[in-house]
Amino acid sequence: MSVITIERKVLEKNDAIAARNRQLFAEARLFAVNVVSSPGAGKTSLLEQTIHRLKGRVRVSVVEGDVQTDLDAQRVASYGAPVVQIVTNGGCHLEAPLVRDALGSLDLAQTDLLVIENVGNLVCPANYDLGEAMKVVVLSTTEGDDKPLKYPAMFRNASVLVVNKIDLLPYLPCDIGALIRNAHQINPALRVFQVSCTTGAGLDDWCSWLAAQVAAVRA
Amino acid sequence: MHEFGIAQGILDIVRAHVPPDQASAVREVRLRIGDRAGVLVESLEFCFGAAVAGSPYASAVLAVDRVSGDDLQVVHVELDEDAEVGA
Repeated sequence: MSVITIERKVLEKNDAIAARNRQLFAEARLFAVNVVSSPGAGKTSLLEQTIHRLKGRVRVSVVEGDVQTDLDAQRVASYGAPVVQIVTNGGCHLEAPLVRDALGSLDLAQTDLLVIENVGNLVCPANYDLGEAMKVVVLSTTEGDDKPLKYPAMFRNASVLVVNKIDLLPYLPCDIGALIRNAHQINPALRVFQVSCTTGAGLDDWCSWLAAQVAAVRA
Repeated sequence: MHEFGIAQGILDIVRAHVPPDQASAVREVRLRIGDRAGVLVESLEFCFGAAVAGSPYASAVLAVDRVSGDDLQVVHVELDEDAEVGA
């Protein structure tokens, strides 16, 4: 037997393209976030509310990832933001080359905040760098307070946790204190926002923080 | 279920390092996979088998060193020097 030493990362091709995406974002001086969650946590609702509240202050462009349909792109477009839909045709996460190809349909020079809405999945998207400044994980109260412990990679790799649907807390066995403690047990540095996209609670704090991140990149 | 894409990524890296006339001599592809890599090893082995089937690498199998962390690396390949060279 003879051995050929290789020592290469399997995802090096993805990571190299993610680095090029990150360079493009830096040149355009935009803030890019990769929004991840399980299906139905409220990524698109959060995006709609965010675009609406930042209108006139922050120019938002959107990359939508879904397994099928452009329903989310239609929803986002109705709020007046430029949007490009990626249909993965069964793929469980976005990869950097898909995002790179989608960027050609957006005017990055006219974008302050780029939101990449990943495929709804709390597992696979954790391991794929798309070139974003940070991952934002959305977790809804209906999913239960144990999810950070059960899907730790996503919470470890994210910088921000948005807890959505807090208006439903009176009707659910979800303990929001336990949820946040569990999340901080996995990742003590996680910044947490508690919001309801239905009532609007907490969204001003979230949007003010986002606007400050955008301002820091453009300063 | 993204193990098939990872299997293809592994095969791409192997192709880039093994001279084409030695492809059929590859017996083992050794990987280092962390417990946080988000990879199901059994699924990856199945997908790799499907990826190499009918190719010059059909006799290659995966060997996995499990480590802690998020490593997902191709460590080396082992070739059978006595194998008939040529695809």
